[in-house]
Amino acid sequence: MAYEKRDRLLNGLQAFIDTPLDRLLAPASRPAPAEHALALFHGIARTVPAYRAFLEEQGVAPESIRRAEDFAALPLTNKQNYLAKHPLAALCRYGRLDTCDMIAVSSGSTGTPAFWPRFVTDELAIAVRFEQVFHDSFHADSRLTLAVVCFALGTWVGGMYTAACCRHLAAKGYPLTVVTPGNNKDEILRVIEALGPNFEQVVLLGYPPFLKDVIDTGRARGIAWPRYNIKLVLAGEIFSEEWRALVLERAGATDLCRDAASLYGTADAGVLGNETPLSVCIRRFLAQTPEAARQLFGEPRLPTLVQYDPLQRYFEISEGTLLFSGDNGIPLVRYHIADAGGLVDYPAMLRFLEQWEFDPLAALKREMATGSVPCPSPSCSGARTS
Amino acid sequence: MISYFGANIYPENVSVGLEQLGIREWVTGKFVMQAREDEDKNRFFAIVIELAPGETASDERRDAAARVIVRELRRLNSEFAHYVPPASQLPHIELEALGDPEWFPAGVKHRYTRR
Repeated sequence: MAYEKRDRLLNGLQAFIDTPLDRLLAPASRPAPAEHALALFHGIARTVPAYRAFLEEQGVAPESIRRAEDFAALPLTNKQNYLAKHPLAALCRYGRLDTCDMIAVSSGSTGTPAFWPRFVTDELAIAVRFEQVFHDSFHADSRLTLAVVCFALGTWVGGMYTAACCRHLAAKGYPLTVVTPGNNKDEILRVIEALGPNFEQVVLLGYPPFLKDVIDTGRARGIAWPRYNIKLVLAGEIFSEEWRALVLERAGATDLCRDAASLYGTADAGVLGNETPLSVCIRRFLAQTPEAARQLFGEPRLPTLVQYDPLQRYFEISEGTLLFSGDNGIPLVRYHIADAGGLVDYPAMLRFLEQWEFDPLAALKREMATGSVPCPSPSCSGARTS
Repeated sequence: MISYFGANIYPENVSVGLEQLGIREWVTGKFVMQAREDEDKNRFFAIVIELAPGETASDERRDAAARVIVRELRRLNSEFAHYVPPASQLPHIELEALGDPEWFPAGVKHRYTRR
């Protein structure tokens, strides 16, 4: 019996449940992200056999990596040069697959699937992204909420992972109940009509075009969406602000900055970042101000804009594409996910908008009838992906 | 790669369809795939395929390519098979002449996906 694992679970769960969201996002003593990433590197180099082998093959002595600059010069890992080259167990801590308790499967480019093991504690780290959305955007701490998981259920990462994170929020005390129809449209509509009236709001979690189909089909079948107080959690692909406005309107939702939030998620490492009321407010401004968007992103077309926690997923840029480091079932260092994107520092973003005479914090306050604006963590930065 | 209903679709998955007997005779193997949006902002899967020299487009060819591509995609890509509702799986096919300046310009490194 692995007692270490039992301790890891209990400690992780205790910390997640006992720590309120604002302290999870801004702990009292917050290390500098680059220092944190350096410490993560040393832990992984010590405990993950595949990464040790990778460093050796690349001629890197772990003890020579002492400063943030050394970390930033480490060779990049990716699917081909790292994940595909080592047995699954060697990619996990201590070379043991049983440090994890579950495996998700994603489709590879050639039809050979990729496998992504994880443990409950990895989900708890990702559950914070869901908590941010459910707390700050949906006020699910004080509203009876039904979460309807509309991602495909099965070996794929989205459905089971999302269901797990929602249940972790319920365990933390959120008045939240989860139902898992998966991507079965008839079943989704059936559970909403049957269960929805018991709740103050209903959150649909799924891929954007699929949820639109659900909402359109429901309308055609005479479902009165406004009575359910619908919120949306979206993932997997980019959408326009016009799309957000259209779908929310059809769902009877009115708060464009808060009633839908998109997650930047991957099979490789869970949810990397999430939309916040602030990021949506900024993206809506950029959608209406193409010149500002062009200046910020180099083109008027809007990428996805999310905030992320650099202590969870430490992002860097390489030639206009994203890489990140983070702990996980398969811990990753400078992993080149190769999504096109960039990083904008939180203060730099506010300064940029100031030049365009736009104050998103004030705009959010004005829009809210009551209550306070959830304060974004100052060290969160925006990642954009396209 | 493109994302369609959350499924990652790789160009390799589509190439396999174009290499099948009955298709490969009249295509070059180049194509551009996209997740497009219709006027009601619904997503659909579109593939523009380059015709081999001297070949012409027809409804029969468009149908044949769509059927073979979707068959191979379902076989090779479990995300596609399970995330994308059946009614949205069949790609909308456009057949364009060799070197079409918009889709297959000569002298430029070909990209298999477009936003």
